[in-house]
Amino acid sequence: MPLPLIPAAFLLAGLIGYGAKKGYDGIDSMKDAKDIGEEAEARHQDAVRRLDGARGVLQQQLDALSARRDGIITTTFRRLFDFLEQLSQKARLEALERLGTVGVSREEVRLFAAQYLEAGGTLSGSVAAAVTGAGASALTTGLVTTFATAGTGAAMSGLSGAAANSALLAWLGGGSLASGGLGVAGGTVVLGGIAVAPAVAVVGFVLAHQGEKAKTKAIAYAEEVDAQVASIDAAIALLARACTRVEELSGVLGALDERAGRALDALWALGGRFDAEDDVHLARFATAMQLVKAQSELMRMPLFADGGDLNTQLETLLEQSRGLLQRGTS
Amino acid sequence: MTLKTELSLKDVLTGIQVVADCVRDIQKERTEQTRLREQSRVDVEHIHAMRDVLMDYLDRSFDERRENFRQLFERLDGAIASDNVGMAAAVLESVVKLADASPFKALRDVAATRAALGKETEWKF
Repeated sequence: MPLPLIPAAFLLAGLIGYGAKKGYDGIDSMKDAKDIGEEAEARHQDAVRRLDGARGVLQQQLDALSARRDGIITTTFRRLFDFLEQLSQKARLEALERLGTVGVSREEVRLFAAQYLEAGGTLSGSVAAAVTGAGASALTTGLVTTFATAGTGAAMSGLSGAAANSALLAWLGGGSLASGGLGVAGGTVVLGGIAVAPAVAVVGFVLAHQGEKAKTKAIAYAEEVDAQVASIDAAIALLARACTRVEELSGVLGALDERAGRALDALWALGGRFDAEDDVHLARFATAMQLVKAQSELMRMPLFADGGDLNTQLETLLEQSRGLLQRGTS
Repeated sequence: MTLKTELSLKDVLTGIQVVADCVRDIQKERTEQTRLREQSRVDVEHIHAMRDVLMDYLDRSFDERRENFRQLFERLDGAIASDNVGMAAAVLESVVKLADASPFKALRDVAATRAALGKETEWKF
């Protein structure tokens, strides 16, 4: 081999080696990109699973609240109506007439009577006429649909299924995350027209560049996933507080029911001796009625936001929290 | 495939150009990767910070409400025990009002305020 060619051979070998190294780096970066994408995907799936778990817990709380509500309607409300039932018509009308003096309007009595009927309770014609001043069939038209509707079972029990398909999951579940394109960056390298050594070097650099591009894309994806996961974590925390809200309402309902039960016991203890002109008798009747009225109002109360059914309320709440969590405003 | 074993000057220049472009672009990609990682850190920290503020507000609200309910029921029991129907009615009204004033409802106002502040708002005094 002529001497001048030796440095050229070294240069050639160096170029091949360097090119090969850059090519290896590029392939390594593509592997990194794939790993980054897969790990991000796994983090996201884990977050969605945790979110489903949190929603399941809330669903249990709502079911328990629903059961408590049904229990109150079929026992406490029923006992009050049964008491009215056993009064003579005269005593019943006098008692109801005097309720206004203790802050219980006829409309309020109508509302809890409507809830009672909605839950499958029955009223005799004379009691229905006395408490409503109208036919029992007209009662349901005055129902507030939020909590009462949920309390019928359909809306509440349908929460998990409905919510799972709602827009709630569209943002919580990261539906907008694109999974395509990750780890795909190879491209085609054209060798034609370039000699082996420079070609290896050039191909190596091209591969390295493609690898870095893939990695950038994967990191951008992971960034989006991390922000989504953080938002999902916030939503999970919010669902826990939604549980607190349900527990609170359930607790208050329970505390009122305990007292309503005692008030009804005291009322029933009068037996058939109830006298609407007797202040003590009237006080007992008024107390029982006020407690039941308060329970009735609580049952019609929206839990998380104004208006809409329970699912819509929860969705609104989560949407509001998402608005708060977003960085900056545009 | 047949490969040329001799390089023309044009080939060499093209190769050098490609390598130079790649070196520049690789550097740009790495800079972008660093920016993305930093942005991610900032975004996630922001979300966590907002979440903490939000949850702290809700937790404090629920604690305060728990205490208020406790006091109201104490008064209610007193009113019932003394057959004070008027007082019982007033306390029960407060119980219902407190239950209705959900801390979650305040979120709507906060969200609306924030949205309003984010717009190009011309403040007039």
